[in-house]
Amino acid sequence: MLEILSRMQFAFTIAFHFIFVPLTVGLIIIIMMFEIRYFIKDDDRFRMLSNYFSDIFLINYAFGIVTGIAMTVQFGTNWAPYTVAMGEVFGSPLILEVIAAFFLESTFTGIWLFRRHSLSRKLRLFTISMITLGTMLSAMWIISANGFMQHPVGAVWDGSKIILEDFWELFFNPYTWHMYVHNHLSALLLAGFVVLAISSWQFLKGKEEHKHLFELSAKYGAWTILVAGILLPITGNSYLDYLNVVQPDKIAMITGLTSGGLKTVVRISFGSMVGLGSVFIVISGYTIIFFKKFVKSETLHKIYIWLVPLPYLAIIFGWMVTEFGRQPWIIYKIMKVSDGISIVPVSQVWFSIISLVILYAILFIMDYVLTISRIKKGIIEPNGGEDNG
Amino acid sequence: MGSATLASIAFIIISFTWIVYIVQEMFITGSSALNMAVSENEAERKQIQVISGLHFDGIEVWLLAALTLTLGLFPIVFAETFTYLYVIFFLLLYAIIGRGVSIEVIYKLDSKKWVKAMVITWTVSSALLIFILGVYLSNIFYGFPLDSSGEMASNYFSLFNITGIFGGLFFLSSALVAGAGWIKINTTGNVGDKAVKVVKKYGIIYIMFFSLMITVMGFNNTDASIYIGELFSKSIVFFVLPIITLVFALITLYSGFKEKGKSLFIFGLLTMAFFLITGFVGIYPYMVPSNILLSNGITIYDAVVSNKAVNVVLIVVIIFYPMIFLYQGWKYKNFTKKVNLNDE
Repeated sequence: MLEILSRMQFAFTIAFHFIFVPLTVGLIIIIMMFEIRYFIKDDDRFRMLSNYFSDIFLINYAFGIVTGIAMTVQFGTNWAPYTVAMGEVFGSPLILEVIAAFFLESTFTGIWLFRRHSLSRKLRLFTISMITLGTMLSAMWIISANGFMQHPVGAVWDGSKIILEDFWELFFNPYTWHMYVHNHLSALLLAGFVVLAISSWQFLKGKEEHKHLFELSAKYGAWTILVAGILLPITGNSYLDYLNVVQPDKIAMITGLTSGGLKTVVRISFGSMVGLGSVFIVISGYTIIFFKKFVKSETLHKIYIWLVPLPYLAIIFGWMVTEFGRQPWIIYKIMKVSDGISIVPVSQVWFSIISLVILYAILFIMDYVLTISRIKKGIIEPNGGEDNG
Repeated sequence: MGSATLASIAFIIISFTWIVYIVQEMFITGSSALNMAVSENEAERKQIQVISGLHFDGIEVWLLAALTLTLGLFPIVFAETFTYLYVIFFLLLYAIIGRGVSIEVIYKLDSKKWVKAMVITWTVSSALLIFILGVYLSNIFYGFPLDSSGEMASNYFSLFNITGIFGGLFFLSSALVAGAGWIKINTTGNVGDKAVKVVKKYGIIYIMFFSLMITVMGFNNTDASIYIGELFSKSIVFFVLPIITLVFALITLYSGFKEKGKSLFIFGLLTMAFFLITGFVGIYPYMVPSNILLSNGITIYDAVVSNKAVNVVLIVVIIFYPMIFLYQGWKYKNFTKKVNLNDE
């Protein structure tokens, strides 16, 4: 029971955290594109778009950052034997994530949240660049922690715990980089989709005077989906070639050579991810080629709004392939998941899992209400000073 | 460097990170927790929201740094304390989540009910956050009930002993005191004066001094003291640290009595900083001291990871800590302007 609960709790918290993360990681890049245009051309339309989408970013960032801490806590509370055995190696990417990335991201997000309307163009671009850099680095470090769990290199196992041998080998773990590029592109695609859907909503129901702005953002959204959508299968293919060498078991699950239980789930998830990927290319390609039709077509606007869950699903399927595909290992071929679980009273785990579910349900509703209501308010021009209204 | 030296350096890095975190967190949580007592309308409340909200994100990362550094440098300590304090850490997590979300979204919906709910969440979670941290750290300084087999002899409720509770109260009250100073320094209008008056009127400045005294004297179930480690018994010089702490606390008390915002802030922070320094110097070289038998405790030498792993962290800290101080300092300098009423 303890094992099932601890696993469910971690899966639940990380999945919940990952509702917010890919959106913010991708969206900040699109916002930075707006800021670059505003900086170079002094085109005010891009400032307005950046401000608008920044509000969506900031709401989701607030939820993303606090729910991320839930995992750090669980490494100690629920995965103590894992932490004891792996802390030496697993700890350094986590420390780097915090010290070399999180500080940057958070410090500058505070400025962006409360002071962006009083910043010069130059400082605006600087602040956004620092946040973007911070999110990219932080994703890189956390994925390198996961990369180690998938393909442990740069360290040796002494029978009871892992010992660091070569930090650079750990850092340049090819597994990490395959995952990182693929994952970041998927976040970009998702953000592009959200931007396209929000722009579609604005065509349908937004203020007339701002529709020309959302034509711009729709274009950015569609192009982002297309570029990421084309690059994803390319990077995915080389990722697969690499998996053939280091995790042949996973490949066997994907291709259906082995099946039953989780293995079949891996194959179906993989197929769904690839299928959805093709849908995204078609949608974005159509939107770009027939852009004028799209701007006028209410049907397409409605469809795009309803399709927003699809990129989220694609990302979840991708992660299911990655994580289910390495079972039963917590560190591939070194330590099993079942050996990593803390022996704590089951009642305490019940307490945490139930309270987490309740709290997260509230958080989800809050995020949903806040995001939707902010989308609907449309472009708001500040009167100067703070932006906490 | 030998592994003993590296272990000590690792201990210093973690203690330093905790101190940098708590000293900043106290005026953020303190000013937040005061908002309901001092602001008469939403315009005044917004002033407090801005001066704490602007900085809390970057400050909270110091907590994450302290936690992940413990995980990466002393994994056994991380595992042992977190499983022991399972429920406490989840409560701390919920306080962090409540504070982090509410502080940013209070005014994101035009509904009075929403604003009220968020304001209460913001106030309560801020107070809870600093209180739990106080209970946790003062217990670390006095040790846990570790028996000779390395198991905890009683459950997590043992944390709420006299010293632990007064430690929590000390953190909360000094947060309110420093928070009042922070509001006074950073706002125009009435809130600053009101905040300084509130901490005097309700006796928070006295509670701070009193609870600090109780915490340092250690009225505990066991005869463990805050000087549990080896340094205080080696040299009497170290006793200058708790004395300085008490002197700073007295000056804070006096500043509160005289209603001086700026010195409330400065000496409140200094009191906390020296309390923490006393505590960390006091437990050295233990990471998890035992209040049952000193030798049961986990020392830094028992728990530290390999030299290579410590070196990696050391290089990371040497490179990045100065950079973090630089840009966070730049932020304080450039963005801590007096916040006016209706500054929108």
